[in-house]
Amino acid sequence: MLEQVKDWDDDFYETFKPIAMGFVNEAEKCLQCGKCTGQCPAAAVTPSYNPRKIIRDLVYGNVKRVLSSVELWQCFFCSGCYSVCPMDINFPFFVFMFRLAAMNEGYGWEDVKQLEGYAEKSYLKDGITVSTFERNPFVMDNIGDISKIRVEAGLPPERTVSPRGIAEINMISDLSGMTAFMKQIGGVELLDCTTCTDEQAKRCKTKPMPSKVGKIKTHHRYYNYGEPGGKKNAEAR
Amino acid sequence: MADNFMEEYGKETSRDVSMRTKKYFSDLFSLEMPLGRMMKMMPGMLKFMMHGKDTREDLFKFMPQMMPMMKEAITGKKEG
Ligand code: SF4
Ligand code: SF4
Repeated sequence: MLEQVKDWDDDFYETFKPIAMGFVNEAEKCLQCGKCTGQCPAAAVTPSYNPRKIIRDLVYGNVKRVLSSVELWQCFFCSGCYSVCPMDINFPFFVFMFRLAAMNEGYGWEDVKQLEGYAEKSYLKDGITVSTFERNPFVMDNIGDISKIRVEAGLPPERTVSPRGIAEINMISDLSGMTAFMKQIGGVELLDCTTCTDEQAKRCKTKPMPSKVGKIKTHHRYYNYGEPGGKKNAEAR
Repeated sequence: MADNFMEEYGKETSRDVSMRTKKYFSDLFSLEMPLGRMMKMMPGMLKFMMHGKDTREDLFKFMPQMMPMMKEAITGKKEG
């Protein structure tokens, strides 16, 4: 199936801008100079990732390609692109907004679900916003368990938040709809099964991505910006 | 399994997806307070109220500001 220009929604960006409350601005001024991509650390390690192309597609209204892509989920919000952009385009905001849109289309849930365990256990129950649970094998082997390092430094193994603080976090989370959202995404922890150790395998709760999250039917994403999409490139077969 | 995103979406065009996306964000950023939305907030406020004396007092201090919003949710009419 060939992609056709008439399939794009050329009004998309202009009509979306006022709805997006200022989060998505100035993209029409993009020069396609590629400075954002040139300095992007994510693009340096993942060749198909290209912020410039994502901006181009949003302005042209090629919404399907952006929202169903793996690449939309490769940015880690360092804002390097924003700092070098000659037109002051705040690309990380775009990523933030379009990840929400992608989730609404059923894409990206395999990534979001990884946060659920942390969100319910650490964030709502203990009020901790930075997890001390370390599962990166490199850190475990070379630095060791973070909580042990904290104890050696004379600190409690985990940060502690006051009960009042935890109550406030819970209320804010309930009022903003965050709690309902966390409950909706269910508990799945995805580890890279080919590299994990026996110790990690024991803790592993990997489950396949559910076919639905609430009313949203989930889909696997495609590499839409590197090699053309295909089964061999699709994630999590 | 579809082979690429064009197949995944089938007959749906970017225009359809864009309409859905815009509707999603208009609902998400909407300042209106329908009853359903209000009800979802209730458990959070109750939990906070039950937490202790100081949280209860805090919440009651905030009540006058919340009343118009609650009225709007119940009657469905905007004040002012
Ligand atoms: S650096 Fe800015 S102007 Fe240049 S391609 Fe990236 S977003 Fe567009
Ligand atoms: S914010 Fe995202 S797109 Fe921009 S430079 Fe950092 S990783 Fe790249």
